[in-house]
Amino acid sequence: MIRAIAIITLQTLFFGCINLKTVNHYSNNALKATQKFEEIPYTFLQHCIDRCEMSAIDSFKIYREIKCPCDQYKRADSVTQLVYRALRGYFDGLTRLSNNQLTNYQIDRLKKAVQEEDLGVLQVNKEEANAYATLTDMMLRGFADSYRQKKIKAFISGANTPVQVLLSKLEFIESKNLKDVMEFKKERLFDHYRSLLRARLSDYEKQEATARYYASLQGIIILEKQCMTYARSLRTIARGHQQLYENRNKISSEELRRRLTPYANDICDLISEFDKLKNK
Amino acid sequence: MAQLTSRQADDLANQFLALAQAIGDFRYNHWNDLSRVQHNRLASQHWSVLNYGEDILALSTSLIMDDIAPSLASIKKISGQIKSSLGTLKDIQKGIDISTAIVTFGAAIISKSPIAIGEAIDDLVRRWRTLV
Repeated sequence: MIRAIAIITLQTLFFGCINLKTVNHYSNNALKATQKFEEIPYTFLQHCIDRCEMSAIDSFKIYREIKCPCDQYKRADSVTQLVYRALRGYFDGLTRLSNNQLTNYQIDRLKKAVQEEDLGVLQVNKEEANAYATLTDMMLRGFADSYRQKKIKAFISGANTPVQVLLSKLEFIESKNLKDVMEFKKERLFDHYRSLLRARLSDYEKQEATARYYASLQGIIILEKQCMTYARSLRTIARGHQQLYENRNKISSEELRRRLTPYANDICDLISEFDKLKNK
Repeated sequence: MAQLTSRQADDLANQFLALAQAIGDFRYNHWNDLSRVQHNRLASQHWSVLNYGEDILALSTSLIMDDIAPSLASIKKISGQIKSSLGTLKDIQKGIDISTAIVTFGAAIISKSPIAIGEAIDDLVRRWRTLV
């Protein structure tokens, strides 16, 4: 009887580990990539403040305290934050639930406790204690992993539609709206320096101004690339989640690992690409 | 404006950018033909059109809220359920810890050691508190 239970639980444990590892690998990378949002050093509010200051600089206006009307920009940031936090929360939960460490229950203390010499009739010898501990460990992990698989399948199923919507909206905000405000910033910068070079300046001053223009332009271009790389990682996460959803009934198959691993690896590559841009 | 989608708003913003660039280029290309007043007026118009475009982009982002409200609610609910499942799985470890504490407490009573009994009670209470 004990042997039969052991075989069943061993099977459950074996199959459980393989597949949850695949989900965990994807989800963990998706979480890390989503969190890169916090490393993009540009927001709508920052853009509004920059434009306000640029306008003051362009018209030689000095204020004790510069007041910039940025309410609309704060609202845009709030919406973006809301979408980001919802996605981060979901992938964080999925990563933790699919982590095999979660069901590595510590039963060593219990095993030691039943071997205490003072237990009298309750005392269990070392061999028996080891055998029961191994069986308990296998059963616990087997049932817990089976529970996790069932739950993960249900969560992925219910979450796919809203996750796709939220990922596509965050991607739109980063690759369109935030990237486009930077196009406006570039135009403002271009106009400022183009007009400045018309003023009476020495050749040295003109060269200095030109160099500053290109340095500022380069800074904006790097920010744009960061936003675009981040948006690409969101697209890849969305495609990976779609694969996960479509294969949710074959969560025990090798096919899922084969299909999902390329997405997890692509996300990883995009994280590296993002980090390289950050260090430029 | 409320009927504008975020994508339409984005397209509109890009039209404003193109318009602003045209105003800026016109001013630059006629630099010597324009009076100081005309320069100032065109420069101000150029930057005002840029402002409009940027404001539309910020508005476009806020408009997204209308599309995502149900999705946000669904994900929030699912994330809560995931948390609850995590709690269930962690409770198994707590159960094991309580069993260990009870066995240790039993052993302490059998040993009749007041120090061991005191320590075992403390451990049992502490672990029990993590459950409730």
